[in-house]
Amino acid sequence: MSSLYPRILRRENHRSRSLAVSIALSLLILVAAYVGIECGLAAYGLDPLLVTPAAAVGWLRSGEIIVYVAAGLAALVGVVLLLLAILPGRRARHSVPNDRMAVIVDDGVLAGALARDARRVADVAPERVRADVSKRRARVIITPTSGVPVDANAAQATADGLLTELAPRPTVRARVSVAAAGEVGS
Amino acid sequence: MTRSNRIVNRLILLVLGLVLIAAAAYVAGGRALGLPRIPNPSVGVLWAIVGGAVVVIVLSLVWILSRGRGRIRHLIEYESSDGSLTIDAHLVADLVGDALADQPDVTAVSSTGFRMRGRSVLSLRVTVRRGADLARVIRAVDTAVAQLDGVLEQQLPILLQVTGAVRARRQVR
Repeated sequence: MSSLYPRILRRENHRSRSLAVSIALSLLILVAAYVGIECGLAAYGLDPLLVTPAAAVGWLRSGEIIVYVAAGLAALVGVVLLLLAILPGRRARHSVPNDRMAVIVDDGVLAGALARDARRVADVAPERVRADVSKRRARVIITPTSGVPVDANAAQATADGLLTELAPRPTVRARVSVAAAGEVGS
Repeated sequence: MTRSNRIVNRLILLVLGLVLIAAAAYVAGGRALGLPRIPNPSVGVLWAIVGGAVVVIVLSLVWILSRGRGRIRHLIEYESSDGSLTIDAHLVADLVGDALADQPDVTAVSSTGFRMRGRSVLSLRVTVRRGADLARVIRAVDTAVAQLDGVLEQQLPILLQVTGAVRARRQVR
């Protein structure tokens, strides 16, 4: 079981390329089917569906602008496929160490938990606290009520405490800031 | 989660991308680089292309149709002389959902199963309200899972996924 969890967590933290591969291969099937049929017809000396392979090769050699445009588009699609293959494809999630289970938490939930704690400490309405979590950083912004000071250090300590307790991986560091301009009302 | 081979997925995208870029470069700049011009295809070459196209189509279809395998419905299957017993992933979701019923932050519990390295893994998805007390929710699931272990009389490997209410489908309990 213990050897299973790192693998599960790694897979859950990264996007599968199955959809991208399926789309790319479906297009490849269409192109291969068309090219194959044209070549088969030409090999038998039959009339082409659209263009004969010889005419197509002649067009590619013609050096017309449209050929370069087509080549450029093909290269662009190639670069996109290359990026899909190489980029890490991380999902907006963190794993949380646990003795019994492999635990994965959406970054939005983590941000919500941070906002909740910050709101308690700062004693402001829920909509006065914004929090977001990225791979290694959490940002909490508290908008105080005008004239009521907010203890930024206490809020920072609370956020640090939560992140220490949960210990999300990759490690997240919190930065709590209090907006300079407060708002009127509760 | 499925059993799809992700390294090969990446390799396929890499090869397709490189082939497209190379072909585009050859068509657009082959002559400037002094590469030979594309020859007119002979009948032999035409047949070779037909053969290659068939192979590409068959391999592509095999790969596409093999995506997404590995999910299972029955987490546990016992066979004995008295009969057989299967434990469904939905049943587990109900058990865990009941155990979490007193958690105000939890709005839904669902579960599926998948197989990995010859073992059945239970995948639990717990949907929580905005601003939920995450540590408390995880502790509550820990307790629920301890009860589940007692009911099933074994410890299934478990993946717990905690997600926000954006994708929540409310579940009647």
